[in-house]
Amino acid sequence: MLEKLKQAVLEGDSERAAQLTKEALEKGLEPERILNDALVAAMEVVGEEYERGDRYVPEMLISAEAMKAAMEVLRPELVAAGVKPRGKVVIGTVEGDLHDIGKNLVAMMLEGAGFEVVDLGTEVTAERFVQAAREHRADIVGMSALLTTTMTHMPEVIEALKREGLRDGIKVMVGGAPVTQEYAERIGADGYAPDAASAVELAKRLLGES
Amino acid sequence: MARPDRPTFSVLLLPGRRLLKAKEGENLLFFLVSAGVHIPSDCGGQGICGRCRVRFLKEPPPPTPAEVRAFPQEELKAGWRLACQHRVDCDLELFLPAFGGISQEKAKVGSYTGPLRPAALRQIVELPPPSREERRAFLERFRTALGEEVEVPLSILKEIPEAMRSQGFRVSVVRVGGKVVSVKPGVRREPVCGLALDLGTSTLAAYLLDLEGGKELGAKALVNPQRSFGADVLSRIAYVQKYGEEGIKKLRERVLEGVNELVKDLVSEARIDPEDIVQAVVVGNPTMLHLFLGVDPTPIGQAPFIPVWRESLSLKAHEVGIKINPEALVHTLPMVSGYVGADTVGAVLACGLHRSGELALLLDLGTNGEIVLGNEERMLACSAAAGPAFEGGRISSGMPAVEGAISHVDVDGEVSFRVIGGSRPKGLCGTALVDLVAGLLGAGLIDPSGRLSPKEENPLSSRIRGDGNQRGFLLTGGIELTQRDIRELQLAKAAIRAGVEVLLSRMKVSPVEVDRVFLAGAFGSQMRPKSIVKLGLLPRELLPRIVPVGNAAGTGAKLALLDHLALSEAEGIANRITYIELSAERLFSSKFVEAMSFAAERMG
Ligand code: B12
Ligand code: FES
Repeated sequence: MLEKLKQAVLEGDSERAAQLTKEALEKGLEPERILNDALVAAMEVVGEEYERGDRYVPEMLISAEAMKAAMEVLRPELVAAGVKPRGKVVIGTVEGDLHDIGKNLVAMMLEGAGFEVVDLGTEVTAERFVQAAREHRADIVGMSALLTTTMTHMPEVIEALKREGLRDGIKVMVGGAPVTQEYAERIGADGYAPDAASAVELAKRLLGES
Repeated sequence: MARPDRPTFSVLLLPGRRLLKAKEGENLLFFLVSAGVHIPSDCGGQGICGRCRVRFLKEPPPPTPAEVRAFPQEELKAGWRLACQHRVDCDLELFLPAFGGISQEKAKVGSYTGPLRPAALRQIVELPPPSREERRAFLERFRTALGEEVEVPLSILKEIPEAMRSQGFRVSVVRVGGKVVSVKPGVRREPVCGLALDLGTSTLAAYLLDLEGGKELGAKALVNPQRSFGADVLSRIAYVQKYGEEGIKKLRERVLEGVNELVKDLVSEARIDPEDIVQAVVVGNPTMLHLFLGVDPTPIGQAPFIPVWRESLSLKAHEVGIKINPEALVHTLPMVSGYVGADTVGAVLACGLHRSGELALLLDLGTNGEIVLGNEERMLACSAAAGPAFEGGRISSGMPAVEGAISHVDVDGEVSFRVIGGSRPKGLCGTALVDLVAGLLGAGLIDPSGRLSPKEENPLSSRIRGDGNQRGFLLTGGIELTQRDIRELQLAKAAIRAGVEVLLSRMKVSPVEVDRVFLAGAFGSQMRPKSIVKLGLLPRELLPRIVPVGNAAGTGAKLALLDHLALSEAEGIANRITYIELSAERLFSSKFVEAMSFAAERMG
């Protein structure tokens, strides 16, 4: 059963994934087991295949979508069962930048790994990052920038978090095509990842897991 | 045999869309020449020199033996013929090549087919000498003689007394529209020249034209000296963000340096005086135009991406800093938006989208792909940020299309390739990348998802080595196509294809309704149409309609010099184009993801 669900997610079959999740729940399987053994496990494979170059953005997206479809069914049960997410991530594309395909992918992969994700969308100002981080008690703030001219907003957000006294309790991760490990270090971010699969690893690492 | 009432046929010439009437049976070469088309013919129509090349866009006639000798099979198939070998016996649509082309070797003396109506012209006027009866001021007499209200700048005013007196009150006046640019004593024979400038992010191109004869005197290209400040426009804007005024000044100096070097070379090769260049028309993307004039480009660098100005400007060479006649007029063509610039407007002007009933798609491919879809009724444009892959950027063995770059690759059983300059291959340029990926797709060694995957039955599989993202296809010693390179290309081609799909859907048309596809830009016009559709860069239906047009932006600038009406036409084009902001289009993202795969039949 769970193996079939995992397969459906890997193949990106949203309908089947939702259907199989329903069936699994009806059969009385624990929501947490469905999450970890089928969905998270599937997304881990997706991430590995991506890293190996065997999968690319479209194939990753359809699996992520299937995972999302399954999550829609599963989420109320997880909440009811009191299952805590791995951590809470507030993510967005920085001010002046409208590129969101990569950011969306990162958000979906994080969800697929069991994180709760609050997606602020695009053109997110420092203020909104700070506000959302406070409101949602985020563990991690993730920023995406695809333009050389907008990645300069990243340090502003970090500054704002400091000013508001939130920086110590929050890990900051950054990404997007023009961003590099070196840049992340320079602006005082806690981590950088070059793609969605490694973003998941990074998030886990930042929260002291994995 | 000439019959008294021979029927006539229409001959449509591209680029420029000039329509001619020819009598049945006329020799095509001589017909074109007598219609004032500049077309090279070294052998006088004997079919020996192979220079009178034209491309039949509709129903090319069967090739003659001379043509089989002159063209490779592939070009014959594409409709290339020698004009001297054919007679007009039906309506024709011809593409004339030489007028255009960005690379040095391609910059041949051009064949201009449009009307010659330059704004710049020379007038010889005779002024009444001063006398008891003729007491009007010099300038008044000068104006009366020209018969028109003209504007005379101070520097020219200073020349007038000497010019009027020294040669019996006969003077040569050069004006551009209503502005006097030069006044010299006597009857002068110096040429009246114009300069067309195309300021590209990677390449600067300049063309020198004789405006009286409509001839191209020379063409030069140069790597943009701003290159060291970043490969794309945004890196240059980021530089300005960082260094402010100082940054703008520095970047402006670098372009000017490049432009003035081009001018110097052109002038010395054509043996003219820089003073003889009395008008310049400049095209380029918005960021380049801002930097060229020393205007802060930072508003273009962030949402909502707005340029400081949009319309065409009319300036003086001395204020701009181009080392030609200081009073020369410098016109910049208008822009459409922060990322659809004067280069795109120039390309539309050259390809004539705005004057035709045919629905045409114009693609100017580079780091930023500008796409225009439309006809005389309506035009839509967008900018699809392809990224540097098409110019060889971020590709493991990538390089620009210069000497030593592999330019074309064929994969059929074996792999063969062509190298620019014929020397030892050093890397792959964009066109080769496109060919190679298309070839490997055809051979089944790249699957529709873009994965490099060896096939046992295919001996070429042995060239695939390495693991994971590092695996690559070995083309030749040291030059490899890696999995990652393919991924980069997928992003670039998907951005363009998705942009095309958005415009088609906004125009509410399907690909079959597009009559013509103009591929512009150094990269675009060198790409093989077959590879383009194999990759899914364009819908398959468009294959037979693809016409490479060379540096159409530069051609547009030339047109504006040769025909003053084209300048106002450009303004009209810019105003009529509706700009589609792709980041606001939902459809873009879904089409983009869809187009990343190579399963072209899924698109539509
Ligand atoms: C698609 C695209 C667009 C689309 C965006 C659609 C959308 N809704 O996102 C459109 C057409 C609208 C667009 C517009 C523009 N674009 Co654009 N665009 C691209 C393109 C082709 C692909 C980007 C992409 O989606 N990649 C696929 C995703 C999956 O990858 P990714 O974004 O890199 O994300 C991955 C990683 O970076 C990482 N990651 C991303 N975010 C985060 C966050 C965290 C926290 C972590 C850990 C990791 C992480 O994980 C992701 C998944 O693996 C690139 C060129 C290229 N070849 O890369 C240009 C590019 C980014 N664009 C560029 C430009 C200039 C623009 C424009 C300014 C100009 C224009 N020509 O229109 C506008 C401005 C738009 C705006 N307002 O922001 C330039 C930037 C140049 C530079 N030096 O900064 C590029 C590089 C192209 C070029 N010309 O060189 N663009
Ligand atoms: S003129 Fe020489 S080949 Fe035609």
